[in-house]
Formats: sequence, structure tokens, C-alpha cells
Amino acid sequence: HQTHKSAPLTNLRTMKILVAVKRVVDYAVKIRVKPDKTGVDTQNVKMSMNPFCEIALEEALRIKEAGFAKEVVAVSIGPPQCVDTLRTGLAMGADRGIHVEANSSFLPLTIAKILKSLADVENPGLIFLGKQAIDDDCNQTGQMVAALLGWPQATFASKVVVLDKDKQFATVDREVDGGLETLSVDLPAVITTDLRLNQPRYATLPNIMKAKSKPIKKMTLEDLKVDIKSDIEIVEVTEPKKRKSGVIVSSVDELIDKLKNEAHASLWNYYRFSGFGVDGGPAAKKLALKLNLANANLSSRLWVTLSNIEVRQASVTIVSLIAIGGVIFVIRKIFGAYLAVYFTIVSPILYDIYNNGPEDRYFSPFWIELFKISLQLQIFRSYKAKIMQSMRMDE
Amino acid sequence: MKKMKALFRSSSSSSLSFTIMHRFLLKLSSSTNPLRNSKNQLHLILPRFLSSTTASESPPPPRTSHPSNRFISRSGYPYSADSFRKSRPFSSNSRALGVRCISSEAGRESIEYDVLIIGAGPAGLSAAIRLKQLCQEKNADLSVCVVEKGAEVGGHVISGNVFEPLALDELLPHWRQEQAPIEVAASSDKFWFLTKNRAISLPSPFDNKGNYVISLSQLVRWLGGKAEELGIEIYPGFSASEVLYDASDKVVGIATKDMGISKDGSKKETFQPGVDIKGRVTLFAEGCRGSLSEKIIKKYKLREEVNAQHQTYALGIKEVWEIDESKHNPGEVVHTLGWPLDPKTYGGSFLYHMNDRQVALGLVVALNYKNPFLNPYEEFQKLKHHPAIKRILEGGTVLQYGARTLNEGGFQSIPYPVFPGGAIIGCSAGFLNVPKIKGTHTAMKSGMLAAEAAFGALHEGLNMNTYWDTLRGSWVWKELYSARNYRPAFEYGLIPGLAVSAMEHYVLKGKVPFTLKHGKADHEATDLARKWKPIEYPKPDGVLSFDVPTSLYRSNTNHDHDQPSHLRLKDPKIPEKVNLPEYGAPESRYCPARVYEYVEDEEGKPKLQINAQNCLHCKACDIKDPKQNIEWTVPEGGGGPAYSVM
Repeated sequence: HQTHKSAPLTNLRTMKILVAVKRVVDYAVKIRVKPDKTGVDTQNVKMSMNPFCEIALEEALRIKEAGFAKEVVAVSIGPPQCVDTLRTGLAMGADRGIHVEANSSFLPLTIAKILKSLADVENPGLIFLGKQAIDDDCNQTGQMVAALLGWPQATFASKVVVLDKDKQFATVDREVDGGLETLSVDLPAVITTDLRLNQPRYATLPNIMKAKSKPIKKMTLEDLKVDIKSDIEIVEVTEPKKRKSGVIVSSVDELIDKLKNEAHASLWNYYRFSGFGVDGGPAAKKLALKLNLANANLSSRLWVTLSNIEVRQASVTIVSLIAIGGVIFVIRKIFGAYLAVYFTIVSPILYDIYNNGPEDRYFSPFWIELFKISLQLQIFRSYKAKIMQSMRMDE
Repeated sequence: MKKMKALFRSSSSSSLSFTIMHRFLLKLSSSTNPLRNSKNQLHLILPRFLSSTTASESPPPPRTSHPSNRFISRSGYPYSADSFRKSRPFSSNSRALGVRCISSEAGRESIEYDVLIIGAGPAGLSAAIRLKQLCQEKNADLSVCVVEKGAEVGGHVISGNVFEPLALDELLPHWRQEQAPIEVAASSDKFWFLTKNRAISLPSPFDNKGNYVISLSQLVRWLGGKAEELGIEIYPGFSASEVLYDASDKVVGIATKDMGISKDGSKKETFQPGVDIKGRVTLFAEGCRGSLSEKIIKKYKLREEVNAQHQTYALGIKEVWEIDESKHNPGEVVHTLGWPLDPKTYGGSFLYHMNDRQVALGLVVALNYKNPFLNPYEEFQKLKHHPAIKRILEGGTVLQYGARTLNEGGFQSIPYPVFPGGAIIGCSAGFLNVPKIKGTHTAMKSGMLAAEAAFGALHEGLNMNTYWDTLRGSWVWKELYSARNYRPAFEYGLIPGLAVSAMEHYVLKGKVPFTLKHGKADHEATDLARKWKPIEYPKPDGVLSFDVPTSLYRSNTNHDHDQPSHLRLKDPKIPEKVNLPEYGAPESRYCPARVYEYVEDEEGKPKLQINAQNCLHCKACDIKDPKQNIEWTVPEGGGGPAYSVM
């Protein structure tokens, strides 16, 4: 906490708090990307106040109710319907609203510039914002406003202990990795709010009625002289890739059965295409089960306790062997190296050959598979010469 | 009192047993002597009804018990509803008109209006708009308030819908110039009989010329805007959880539900008590099986009043799809009968082509089905795999999912819609025309007529009962009367039903001198599980058919999880003692949101788990539960689905 006191101090008795509230698609609504991929469809969709903004407003109201501020002003920037969002804010208890009319949606920097010019007009002692909006999840505006104004900022507030009446600063707890960080900021300042800061109040019916007569000032971008030119352009908005739905297994037996029957088919693709992660990646996780089984089985048969096979090492070994095999294949030294690695290490584990005897239904498929691949190998060999020839001709 | 009741009963039972005749008799009786005189005498016997004044002057009702206990209607209510009906008109000079006052008593706030309307749907908003229009015409000022449990106006509105603009033409004649979301004229009527693999075209019994394919949710949003322009106060996000009565048992308004009560019943940090909203006239427009309307119908014995039968219901499950441009034919209307439902189960599907490559697809299943293993949701999934339907849907995506029950009782089931202090309008009373499968126009009209009666009562010293009289003189009545025998005919199965319907439609046109009666009430119709074999439904493929959680996600339904369940069991033991062993747990199947699930408890015994957050507010459980043990009450305001294109 720095204690420079050069700027004229904010009088807490008459302090104004500015709260930015954003109108977003309601959190419970399933969103849909527009067919032309320019954004999310907001036509005929339930809209409400961004939950983080609700928390910001609630905190501002509590500060006012505790006697540390005189007025809470809610601001919203956007189309005419933002007035509804402001009315909700007024019904919660804000004293007045400012609606900055804008028909296109802006990126954080533009919003920050607008808020800066508003702050220049309104002279608030505190600006509260939600840490991010649930529509674009940018988490930038608060920081940008603070930077543009040259004010201190406290982001992700999980507790705001108000303001010392004499020294005029606020202490803010923020949730950081591994604990809480307590900041102390001089006023005026920008605070962005996290989810656990408070539980926003309901707008009651009598308050909604009273809110109808509270003033909402309309402003335009021209009034605020803000340059809305943006250096960022949204190229495309698409839906995330569809994930295969998971399956809930009812017993360990079913899990093992699924692992035997369904998992190994895709296992091969897993370690070719997925990273190792800290634990060896998803492939290794699946492999671990089988490796352990194989290990236990071998140990019991050999009367020797094998040292535990580290999954990560095993999968690294496998993948690097594949890579080496691939290199060998490319430089045409030993063609079969690649497949040999597959046969000798991977296949027996995949087919649980160490756990299965000839009577088991997984036993014969393994040998059939082996036979099939060796057959394909033969065919491939006979064509190899021809392919290589044609490749040379292309050169 | 007893004497009068006896007179009333004997006159009805001795003369004619058919409902319609009885109604004519009532009409006669209301305008001529003997019965009416006896009612006037009644006022002398019960002078306190004469002296009871308007809501604003009467003392507040005693609020002794906790709100959650007050939903139980008082039994043994001694007076016939008839005794209230002809009570004195509302005095219009008791206080300044159009002035709303907010008062606070014992921590609870109370707000007063001239007219209070519960439910911002087609009926409620039509009533509100009509009231304000009358105010403008007659230079009066009445305050009108509409409360709506949905988070937004239109958010809980779901319907087919092929819209007949008759009532809207009367209400807002210039709607065509006012950007109403009524754009796609119905262009063709197709009627298919489905077998497992084929669709056989039948001559269409529907005539949708001049009608429009719309989303009712969007039309209601538009109506809401019109209402607000007229100065009507609409408050979405507030659910009416109980009826307020005055000392003379007249309805004086409603109380909104307390907000911020946790699952265990304790008050949360955000607790906000509900508010009493009072109306000199209260109109209930809650839609099919309204939770408060049902209480009022019971309390004032409104069905018995006019010898109406019980209401019968159907469950409609609907999806809106966005399909390939090449398969989309705006205005095309398709109805089907037959597969996947068995011939003993009444129901059918609809497929309407709307704007913007959207089609509405739905399945309606009458809730008097017998087989407890029937699963309407799964039947709907099956329907989408029928070759004739699959062809249209393939390559498309689902935009929204929803479900709602609808009234099928029609003419035979209309209760007396007026009670002391207000009236019941729209589907809460039940004006759906079954053979047309349309109820929006009749609901709107009933709202308008009730509004006119309310205006008369408040402004001109007339009586709310004029609503009943004008209703019977209106086209709503004619329509429902001539349609009265279609649905009950299907009680005998699909083929006899079709035969009677065809006769009615092409030859008799409702002129037969008899009225068929409805069969058993829906909850009594369910057979014991041992009479039936469980039905094996195919697994959803994730392309045309989906599991319930996926569908629920598309309904946007949501409730604050930390609140007491709004689905109450009158006896918490019945599910495990009766429903599961005897009926095979039908609630786990008819609920289109899988709210009811039997899970194992700590001892491995099956136990009913109620996932109230999933609820789509369709009310099927309130209707179909074999022992009528489940009561649907309103959750915290704002909870429930968020429909926008339904």
C-alpha cells in the first residue's frame, strides 16, 4: 500500500460509485452460433444482467448502505434493450442509470474508453465491474479502464473491506493460486468482482415499481467523444467440436469389459495423436490398467517380482520406438521395423494376451489380427518396388 | 341455505340430464323468477355478504399460518358458490379509480389494483388490453396489473400453433400493420394416418384457410408489448402462490411466493417475503391446470355449479427444428394419427412449417391412457424416426424442446367461470376446441369477455356474471358446443372415434340431440402394472432422437436449486407404497422432464427422488398421478423454461 496523497481526495460521504452492467444472454439459455458464423444468435433469446455485474452492483450497494458512498450509478452500453438491464439494476437499488446507446457490440478496449470518458464526467470514487462477462469471457475491461484512467486496480475481488474513512483506501481480497492475496488500493480505484464476493439480492416487486420512476440518462458516443475504431476484428465464431458423450458404467466388471472390447480399438490412435500430459496422457492412463495386469500376470508366472512398469516411460518408449520405426521406414533401410515394434510390444498388451488363454474369446482375434497384418505386409512389399519406382519418376 | 340448494339440485336433476340442456335452463333461470328469487332471499339470510365492501375497505385477511401451509383449501366450506354469484355489484365510488397504493403491514407489503390478472398468456393479456381499451373508450381509468411466473413474458408459453385470428381481429384489428409476428399463412392441410412404415393420406378434417402458422411464445411477447404501451403493468418473474380471501371468503387478490428460502425451509441471506397484490377484480389466466384456479374451482364448487364434468387432459411434447431449405415449405400444415400410439390411446402429431427454415413438430397424447408403461417422451422420439417425418428432419438441428398439458374436456367440462371477486379465463377454465386443436382464439375471447364484465362491474355497477352470459352468447360457445362429441367418441377406440368424428364433421355438424360423456378422469384411467408388459423403447441415436437431459438443455429450463421442491407429495409414502409396486412408477415415464426418478436409498430400497429443477411446468404429474398425491405448486418466480420460438 502506497501512501501518496497528491490527488484531491475523494470525500467518502459524497462518494459516487459507478457500476458497469452488461446485458448478456441468460446463463441458463442454450446459445446458438449464427449460421453465418458472425456471432451468437441473440434474436428471441432471454437476456439478463451478466452475473458478475450483478455481484459488482450488489457490492456497490452494500458499500453505499454501510454509509461509505452517497450514490450508485449503473451504466450500460449497447442497444435500446439495455434499458431493461438498467431497470433491473435500479430495482436492486442503484440510484440512477446511464445508457450509452450503441448498436454494434464493442470489444473491451472500446468499452473501456467509453467508461473512461464517463468517469471523467461523473468523477466516481470507485468503479465496480464484473471480472468478465459470460458471453465473451474477455476479462479485460476492468484492467483497461484502470490503465486508461491511471487508477489503481484490484481484480477478482472475493472480499472488499471498505474503505478507511480517514485514509481513503480500500482493501481487497483476491483469490489467487494457493490462497488469498490482500491488496490495498488508494481511491479512486477500479475493482472487478469474482463469483464468491456476495450473493446478489432479488429485485422485489415494490422496488421494481419504484425503479420505474428513477432516471436513466441517455448518452451517445458523440456526447462522450469516444473513438470507436477497433484494431481487432472478429473473423469467425464457431461452435466447439462435439465431444462423444461419456458412459456411466454400473460396475467394475462392466468397466473392464468395456476396456477390453471398446477401449483398445481407439487406444492406438490415442498415443499417436494425443500429448503425454503430466501423467502420460489419456492413452497412458488406459494403458496403465493393462500394464499393471500384464505385470501382475507375468510376475506370478515367472516367480519373480518384476519392478513396477512406469506407465509414462512405457508409453514414451512405445511412441519413440514407433517414431524410430517410422524414420527407418522413411529412409528405406528396414521396412518392417515399424510394424515389429507394434507387434512385439503393443499388441500383446492390447489384447491382454498375458491374461488370456486359448479358451478366451480375445485369444484368437489376436492371432487373426497378427495374421492379417502380416498378410498385408506381404502385399505391401510386393507393391513397394513399384511405388518407389513411381516416386523416383516424379522426381 | 339447504332449502335453496335442494331446489337448485332438484330443478337440475329432474328436468334434464344432458349438460347442454341444463345450461340453457340456467340461462333461463338467471333471467326469470323462481330460482332467482330464492337467491335474493339468500342475501337476506346472509346479510354480511351485502355489507361486505370492496377489497380496499375490508380488513386484511388473517395471516396466521406460514405461507407454505396456506395452500390447503379449507374443506367443509358451507356455502354454495351460487350464493356469492348474485351478490352486490362492485361499488365504483368506494375509492378513487386508477390509483394504486402500496401499503406495508407486518413486514409484508400489499399493493392494490383495480384489476389483477394472474398469467401473462393470450387470455390474460387479451383481458388486460381489452380493459384498457374500454377505459380509453369510456374515459375511465382503471389500474391493471399482470403477474407472470416466467422470467419473461412468453417464456412459459408453448403451443402448436396454427393461429385462428378471429379473436385478435376483434381485439387489435390493425395487427397486420403493427409488426405482429403472424406472418406465415397456412398454405396446405395434410392429414396422415401413420402405420409403422407408411403414411396414408386421409381427407383433411381441418380447414386452416385464413389461419397462420406462428410461435405463440412470440405472439405473446408482442401482445405484452402492446399491453405495456397501453399502460398495463406486467411483472414477470413473480409467481402467485396463494389466493387471498377477505372475511366473507371473497377473493381479493393473490400473494406472490417468498423468495430466498432454502431447501430445508430456512431463510437465506437473500430472503425476500412475498407481496400481497390485491385486485377489486381478480382474473385467473394461469393456463391449463392452473394451480390457483384449480383451488378456486374446488373451493367454490364451480364445476358442480353447472353440472360440468371433470376436465380431461392431454400432454403435448414439442420441438422446433431448423431444417434444410429444400424441404421447407412455409405454411404447410401436417397432422397425423395412429403410429406410434396404440389404437386405444388418443393422440396424434403435428408438423407445421414456420418461417426461417423452422418447423414445429409435436406429439399430443391424451392423459387417459391405460398402460402405465407408456412413455410419451419416448413415443415422441419414436415418431421422429417414422420415414415420412425422418425425411423432413434429416440434416436439420433442434432449436428448442418443451412440453405442456392441454385441456381436452371441451364443452362438457367448462366450469362456472365466475366466483366472488373475479373470474377464470382461458385454458384455466378450458376453452380448447379439440377437433380444431385450437384454443388460443377462444382463450383470448374469454379474456376479452371477462374484461368487459370486469369493466362493467367496476365502472358501471354491473355484475361479473355478465361474463358467463356473454360467453354463452359468443362464438366461443357455438364452436365448443358443435365440437363437443368428437373427443368422447374416441373413448371407444380410434376407429369408432374416427367414424363418429367423420359423421359429426361432414353430416351432423354438432346438431345431434345428445352429448357424449367423458370417460374416467385421467388419473383413474391408469391400469395396474400387472395388466401390462413393460414397453421397450429404442435408444436415442443423437441425431433425430435424444435423451431427456439433452432435450432439457434445449428447453432452457432452470430453477434455483436451493429452494423447497415445488412438487409436493400429499403423502410422502405413497410413491414407494403404491405408485411403484402397483402402477410400475408411471411418473417416471409421463413426466417429459424426468423430474421423478426412483433411486436406491442407503438400504438399497427404491425411493422416489424429485428433481424439481428439471420441471417444465407442464403439470402432467398433477393430473396423471394415480392417487392424486402429487401437487404442482409454483416455484420461486422466474424459474422454469425459457421458450422463445415455441
